[in-house]
Amino acid sequence: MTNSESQTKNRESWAPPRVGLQVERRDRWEVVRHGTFAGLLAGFALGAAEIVASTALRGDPWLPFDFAVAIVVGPDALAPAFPVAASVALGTVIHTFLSVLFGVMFLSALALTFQLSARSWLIALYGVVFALTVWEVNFLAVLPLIAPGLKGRIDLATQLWNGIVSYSLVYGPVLAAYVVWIRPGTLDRWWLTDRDGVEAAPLGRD
Amino acid sequence: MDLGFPLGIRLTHAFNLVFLTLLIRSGIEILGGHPMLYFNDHCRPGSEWIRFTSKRMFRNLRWTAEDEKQSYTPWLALPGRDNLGLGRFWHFVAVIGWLLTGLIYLFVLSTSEQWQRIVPTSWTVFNNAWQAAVAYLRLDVPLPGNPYNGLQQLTYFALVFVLTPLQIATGLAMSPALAGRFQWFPRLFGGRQAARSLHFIGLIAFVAFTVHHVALVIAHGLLDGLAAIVLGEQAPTAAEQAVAVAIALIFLIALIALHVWATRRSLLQPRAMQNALQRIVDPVQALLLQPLTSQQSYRPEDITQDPRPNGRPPGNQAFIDLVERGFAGWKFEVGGLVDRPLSLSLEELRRLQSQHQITQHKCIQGWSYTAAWQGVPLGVLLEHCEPTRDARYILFRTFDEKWEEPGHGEYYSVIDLDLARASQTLIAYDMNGQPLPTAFGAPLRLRLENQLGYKMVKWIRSMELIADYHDIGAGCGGWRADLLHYSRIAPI
Repeated sequence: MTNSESQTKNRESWAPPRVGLQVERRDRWEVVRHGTFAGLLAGFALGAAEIVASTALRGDPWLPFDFAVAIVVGPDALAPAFPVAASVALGTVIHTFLSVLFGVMFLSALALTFQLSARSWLIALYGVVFALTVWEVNFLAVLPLIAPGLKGRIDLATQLWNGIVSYSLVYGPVLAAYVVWIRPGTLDRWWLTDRDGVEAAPLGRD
Repeated sequence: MDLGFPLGIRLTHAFNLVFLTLLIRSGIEILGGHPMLYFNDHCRPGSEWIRFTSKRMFRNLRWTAEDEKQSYTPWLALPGRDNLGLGRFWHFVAVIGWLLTGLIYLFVLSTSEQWQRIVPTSWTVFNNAWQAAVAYLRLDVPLPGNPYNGLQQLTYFALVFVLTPLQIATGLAMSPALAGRFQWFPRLFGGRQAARSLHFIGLIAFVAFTVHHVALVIAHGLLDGLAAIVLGEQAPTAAEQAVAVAIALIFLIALIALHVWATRRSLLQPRAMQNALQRIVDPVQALLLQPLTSQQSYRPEDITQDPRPNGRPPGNQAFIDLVERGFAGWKFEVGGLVDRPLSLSLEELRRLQSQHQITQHKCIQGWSYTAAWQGVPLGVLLEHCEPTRDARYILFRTFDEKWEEPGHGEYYSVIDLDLARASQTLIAYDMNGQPLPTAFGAPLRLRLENQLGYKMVKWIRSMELIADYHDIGAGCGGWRADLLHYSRIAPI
């Protein structure tokens, strides 16, 4: 009798229908907690990158703060008369709030689509795509709505470095690196195969 | 140039949104049938490049491909909760609507000056696109083009003339009837699984386009944009803007209501929804795909090592006893509307004319494998049993009592008599040069190479020629059609 024929002999040898070993769990608190951490970390890295870029390109380290504040108070925040201390304080608060919000959104999207346990290169890709989406939606859709006076106020180099490069090479990868490093909600590594000497496949046929 | 948005363009834009959202949600449901994507046709566990499931399978317990399904929430999938059959019906109904919408759009485009919106006619489009990109980067709105700027024109052109045909082609490449008849077709995309992956990536591209499109409409001016696409007004007044917003909101509410209705009715009254959707889908697939006969001829080196089994083998004592005896003394019964009923042992079946073929098995869930099959052409059996003139279908009964899903009767399936006479339709008794393993359908299984796997009944006990199938089971033409709301025919 072949192995597969012996399968018919013992119903207990079968897994319950539609059941498998969980490799991910969805825990709202865990998603929010790690989304907050990931967002804060990536937001800090993005803020630092933007300050460096702004200083190097325009000699003005406070411009990123001014832009963050402009979301709330409008183009007045970009005026030279606007107090630096107020810009730094309010800008930090807004930036931190948005960092946490988008961090939680990123983790939630990963958890919703069962990608918390995805391969590392995929999570890196998700990070970059998410970062560019955040940039596009924030700067091309939301900003013109809430602060139309900011249209055309940024030169190309600043937008390139403070926008696309900072988001795609710093913010997104740091978000992804946090998930890859911590692996929140991940219970098992599904992708291990025979080649790794851990997993025999396909199961149920050995 | 002031092309405006004529009624045809505005209506097709609206219907495009309706059908695209249905396609995306039902596509997610279909993905849940086998929530893994591959770039190889063997689909060995661990070789997927992406997966959308929270689980992996056991090492110390036996499982089949059905256990790998992932149930998705109805908030996301249409209808959700592991309803592959209805998800497929919704997907195909939406495809038909989407294609008709696309044809009308192309007609309007080509019979008016509207084509100038999206078809570049000069190489300057690339320079213009760069200028537009720079303007967007500066958080500015680029100058209008003719009427679109270069970036818009290139994007819409790629969407209509590259991405959309690619989605249609990769979807068709997953049809077992089309891929069986034209084996080269899925190879254009790197194989069936690569086509499936590209189909999914195309879906992501459509979603990404939609996000990008909405963001830029807002950047250009939401109210003006809405007035243009809803009312066709290029320079709207404030009142016209308000009317456009109201119509757009009503449309969005109606769209959401449609999705809620489709989801709830599918979950609460699945049979009614199956019957309704089937009336639209089945005639189309019966006309276009079902007649295609398989001409597959894979090489021995294409055969998949250790493929996935699907469905738990029967667990009843009678079957177990037969397995242990090597089916000695068992006879395959052929009866019903025939002039010469047959009762054949496996040895007698093996002495009939046999046929060998290497073909690709394509499961409705999405996975595939390639194997060599040997058996009796069903047409040969029909010649021996001589069906009467009333016979229109063949009913296959099995040993499979579906012990894992008790209370729904034995597994059976009904196929058309025409399909039975196709050149690669076999009653197979060997797989890859060995007697059919139990997990793959011993003692006999059907091979219908232009159909999805669920029509290829395993563990066959008997076959019966019949005039009608509506009084068998729940009357839908098969155990899976009865219980899981699959279609009776499965050429895609």
